[in-house]
Amino acid sequence: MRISLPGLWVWAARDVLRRPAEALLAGAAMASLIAVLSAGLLLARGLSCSAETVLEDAPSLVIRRLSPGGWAPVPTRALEQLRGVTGVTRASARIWGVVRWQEASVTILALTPDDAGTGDEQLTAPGPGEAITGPGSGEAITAPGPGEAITGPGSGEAITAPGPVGAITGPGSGEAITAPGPGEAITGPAFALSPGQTISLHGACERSVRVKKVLPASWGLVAHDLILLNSSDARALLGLERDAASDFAVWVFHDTEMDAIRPDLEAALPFPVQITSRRESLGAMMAQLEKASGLLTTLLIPALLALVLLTTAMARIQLGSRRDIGLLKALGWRSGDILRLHLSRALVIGLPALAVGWCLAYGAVFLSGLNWAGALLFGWSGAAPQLTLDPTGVLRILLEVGALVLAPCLAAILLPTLRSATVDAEEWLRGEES
Amino acid sequence: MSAPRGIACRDLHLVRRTPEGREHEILAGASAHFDAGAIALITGAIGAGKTTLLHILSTILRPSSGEVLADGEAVSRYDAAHKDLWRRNAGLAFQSPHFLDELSVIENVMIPLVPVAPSLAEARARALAELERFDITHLAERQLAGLSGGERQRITLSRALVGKPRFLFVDEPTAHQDARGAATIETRLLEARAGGATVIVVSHDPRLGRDGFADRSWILLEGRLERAS
Repeated sequence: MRISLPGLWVWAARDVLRRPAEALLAGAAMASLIAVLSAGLLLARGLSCSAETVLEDAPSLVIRRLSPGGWAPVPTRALEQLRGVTGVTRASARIWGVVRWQEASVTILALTPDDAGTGDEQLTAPGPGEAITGPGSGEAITAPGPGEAITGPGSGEAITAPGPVGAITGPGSGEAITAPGPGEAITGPAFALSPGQTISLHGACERSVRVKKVLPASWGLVAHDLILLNSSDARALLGLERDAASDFAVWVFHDTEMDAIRPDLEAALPFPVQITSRRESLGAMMAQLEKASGLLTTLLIPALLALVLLTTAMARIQLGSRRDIGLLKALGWRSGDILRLHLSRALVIGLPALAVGWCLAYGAVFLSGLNWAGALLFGWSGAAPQLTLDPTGVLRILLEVGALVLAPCLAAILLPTLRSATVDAEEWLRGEES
Repeated sequence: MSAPRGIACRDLHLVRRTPEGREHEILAGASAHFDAGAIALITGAIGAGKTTLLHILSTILRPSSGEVLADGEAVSRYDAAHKDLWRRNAGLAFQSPHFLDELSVIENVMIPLVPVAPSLAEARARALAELERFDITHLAERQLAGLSGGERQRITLSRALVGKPRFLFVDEPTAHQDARGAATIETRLLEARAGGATVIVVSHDPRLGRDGFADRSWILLEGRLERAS
């Protein structure tokens, strides 16, 4: 006996179209849920992937000085001791910190002399979520070269650009930007500022700076919510003396040496320090992102339950009464045929909803500029950074979400169908007689 | 020796409990053989149990005891799944036509073909051809609501015949038909017989007893089948 699945599929599609409003409602609900869930996971994945990319070139270790009250500035003269530790290929001092702008905290970063003893010619490149500035008027900043990086705000790390620098270059863009002079700032796209505007920053002192340029979104996470300042402005705002910096960035020859070299670095410095590795920074960032995506998933559980209820209600309506099932069986339909019919009905609604939901999510995260997510999740008021994503990660997320949403919906349809499909034609007939 | 083709019933009993708690024997040892390629007409008084017998012969109802054989196979002993499968060889036309009210006329006629036809288009073409044989093509896209009893009867016969069944069980097919409608139905049942089907018709319409329509007639009397001709 031949079973015609295509015939059943067409029959199922016609069944669905008999109740277009209900089908549309269920499809829209499913697509919305898939879109929201996928968007959240894609966003988290995009952020982590971008962060991984950024941190690939971050310093191996970041050293901060501990004080009874928390953190203390590091003396730049200690760089010489760090450079003397076996295994260290490079060490630099960075100037960065958090100041107030309007009612919010913002991160500023300056290119600054990393060695008070050698003059102002060596500058520090921007740290994560921080700013890059040239030390003097007319100076410029160079984007990180091979083995260097500018990291995002989550890591608290930064990288030193080597030697005198003349320009800051956007990732992949090749565009060079001249560093700000005294009283000038280059801002990340998150602040929605325009060149020529003046902003008033509050730290150890109050300093008004004019926006010289806004970094494009193509800079991605590297400089998204940074304010890049001239080093004199940054020092004034952070209350740093000329021979002090915020922290040290250290590169080692092999990544595997990161942990082994810590005791030597601690011993080389005459003050207590906390040393954070690139791996730890990435781990902390990932944990944050996973927590955020986990929270999002938890929030969506009620929505998922609502969808399952809707699907169950729809299944019951579509299933018709046991009378209908009994009649079908009296006319030669088997339980398997009835099951396949309902599975087909579910897929006729579910598969397009899945495709639409996925497309909406992908578009929202990677084509819309992410402004919605920036405003919703991170409080960004301006353009969002561009994210990068690996195809494997996308596929995994899409499959996970598909399974997460479709599986309970299919179960909600199939379980009552299985029960009803066991209706005996005799049972149906007795129902008809009574 | 090959089993006799057709439908046979042996010593069928059916006992039902009345609402008052009394046991009522509807069938009391009904036995008969209905030949393949022949029309058997079963008559009897109202309430004699004709429709019940037809439901048992078509495996929709289980007898209290006794068995039903189709081409020698004891189909009444099949489990529910096998009975469902076996009914693909059977065409059922109920006395009170049962339909899926959401579907159009042609979709109702297509129902038996949907799980087995190579394509829905072919199922539709066959259903349309069957409606044409009953002269009701014009009803194809109509909903069931508003159709007359006679039209519904012809639709249910179309549905019973659309799968070219080997066994055809028909209950009061001409009850709501005028002379022309009854003639059309007679013709279709004769065509099914000519195609080799075992046709069992329950009716007390005297028009069906004329002109040698049935090859053999039976009377259901006090729960037993007796040969009338």
